[in-house]
Amino acid sequence: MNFSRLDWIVLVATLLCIILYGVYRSRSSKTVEGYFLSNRQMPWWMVMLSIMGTQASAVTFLTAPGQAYTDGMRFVQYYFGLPLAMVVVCIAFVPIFRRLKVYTAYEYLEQRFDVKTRMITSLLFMLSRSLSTGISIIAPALVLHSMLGWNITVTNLFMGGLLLIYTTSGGSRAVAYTQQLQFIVIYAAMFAAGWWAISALPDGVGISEALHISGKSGKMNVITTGFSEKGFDWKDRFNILSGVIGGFFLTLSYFGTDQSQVGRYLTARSDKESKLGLLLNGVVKVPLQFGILLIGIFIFSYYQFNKAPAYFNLAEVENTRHSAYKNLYAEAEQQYQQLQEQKTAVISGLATALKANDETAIDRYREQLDLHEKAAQHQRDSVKSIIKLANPGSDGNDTNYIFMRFVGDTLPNGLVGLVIAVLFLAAWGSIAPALNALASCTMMDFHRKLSRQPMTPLLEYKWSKRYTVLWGIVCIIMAQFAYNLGNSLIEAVNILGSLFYGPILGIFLVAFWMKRVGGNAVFIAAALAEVVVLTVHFSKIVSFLWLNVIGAAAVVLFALLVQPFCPRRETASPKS
Amino acid sequence: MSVQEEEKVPVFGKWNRWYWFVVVLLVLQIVLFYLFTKHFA
Repeated sequence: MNFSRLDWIVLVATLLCIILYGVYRSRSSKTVEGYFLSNRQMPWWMVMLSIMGTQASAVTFLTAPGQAYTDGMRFVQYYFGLPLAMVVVCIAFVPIFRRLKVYTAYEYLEQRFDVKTRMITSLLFMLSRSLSTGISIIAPALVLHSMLGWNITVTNLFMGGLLLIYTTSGGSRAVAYTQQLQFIVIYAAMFAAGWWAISALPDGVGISEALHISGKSGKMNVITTGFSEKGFDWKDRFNILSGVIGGFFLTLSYFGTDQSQVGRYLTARSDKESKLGLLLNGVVKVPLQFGILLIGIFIFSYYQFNKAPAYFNLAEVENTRHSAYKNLYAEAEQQYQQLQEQKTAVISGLATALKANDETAIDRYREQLDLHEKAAQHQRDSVKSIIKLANPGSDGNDTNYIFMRFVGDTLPNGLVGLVIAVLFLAAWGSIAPALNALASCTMMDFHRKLSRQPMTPLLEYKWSKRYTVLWGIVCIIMAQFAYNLGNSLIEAVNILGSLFYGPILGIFLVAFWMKRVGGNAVFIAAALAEVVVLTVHFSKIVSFLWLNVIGAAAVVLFALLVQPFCPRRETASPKS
Repeated sequence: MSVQEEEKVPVFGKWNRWYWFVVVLLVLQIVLFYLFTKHFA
């Protein structure tokens, strides 16, 4: 992949602008409220951008177009539960958190239950969030290593180290201000990449034809039911039911109980601003995600008329070409290219038939395309098998590399640098609030609780900065550790959130709506629910989205069953 | 900020209307996506 001097200039200039802007916006009062919650003075639109920036990591922009390329548009269903979750967060979570003026979501659990529930929930959050933040650092570094040959350790240090400059100095205020600038750059670059993919299509093939061609190849499957002749497939990852129900519980837990998100809307200057930010996120999230996936569809259409790589991870391809499997790979790749050429001829015929609206020809080409598609897919699977043999740590999944390969192969100089900058900015946009949240939990849920001597506001502020740096270092180490252990761990950590989110959400649901349940009962219920979630997960009977529903429901059920055996001690229950 | 200002809900006047707006918009999007799928597949 060619990375020109112009790309370097664009990349460095973009990153420098963000860092300097972050440092410039770092002025905040030297208290923990100023550092972690921007003195609760943010307007709704900054809350919204901050929420969106926190949710969308670099992986979002890397994976989504590749996901559409390989599996079609159905990934968008994953977000269907989000708008519903925004409504419930506004009704149930925001008023309580804001009325009690909590710093962390878990602080409420101490007021409602007891200190151990607060600390264990906060600890669970810190464990899962630090691991997933490590992955947020390593995932783009792996892609940059594969595409540009950049050293992974240096990229990790660079990516993690630079954002620590403004995250540490400015806290949540710097995080929010940089996120708004990052948002503009990210979506402008993604729009440019999408536009380039459309304009790179052959003459006579427009947006409509590209969508029809993708549709005929089974990629326009935006809505899928998950039902087949054998009934509902519980292992099917993305369909309308798992998206609406599983996605609802996942996002409810994420936005209602994950401090990296709760910390964003606690910065708002009023309930109204918090709610508006959350609700408008619910309005724009699905269409935006649909747009990003559409870029993958246009990339798919582009590669129907141009030579598509048999495998998109350049580094693994190069390893294979220099391994004992080089002849086997060359043969498989050649066969794949031959199939691609035959398919391109069919696609061109289909495009002409679509333009002429010739139904008979469309049906004929569609049947041919179906056969070619299956043959090409089969051959691509063979290529992946060879890749896995030549690269023992590889899982043969190149979804994350499709978008960047397209960028490197087709985009003009300058725009390539901007897209690489997008990876950094998106990573920073989600890592910075995570570090801020990890530091706030450490400071408020542990340090302040366990400290025997009262601290001055200035000392608390200084400790908060130290914790931000410390968590930054921990996450960079986690990233390096994840890389050394290989792709399988990264995959495992990606679903880690769903293992804990359900029970954590269950604890909060009990806290809000089951007033007779006390701290001991909910603690035991959460522990039992976690065992259920882990058992279901390792039994592999449902896809990961359903784990959130099971975990939350199990806590509620166990709490009801256990409470009669746990005499309740009166606690300082908050008014609700 | 006064309580009255705090409770003044922009655009729709009441939060319930905002919640319905978000839910109805989601349903509308799902219907549109369904038609999109039907048309292009």
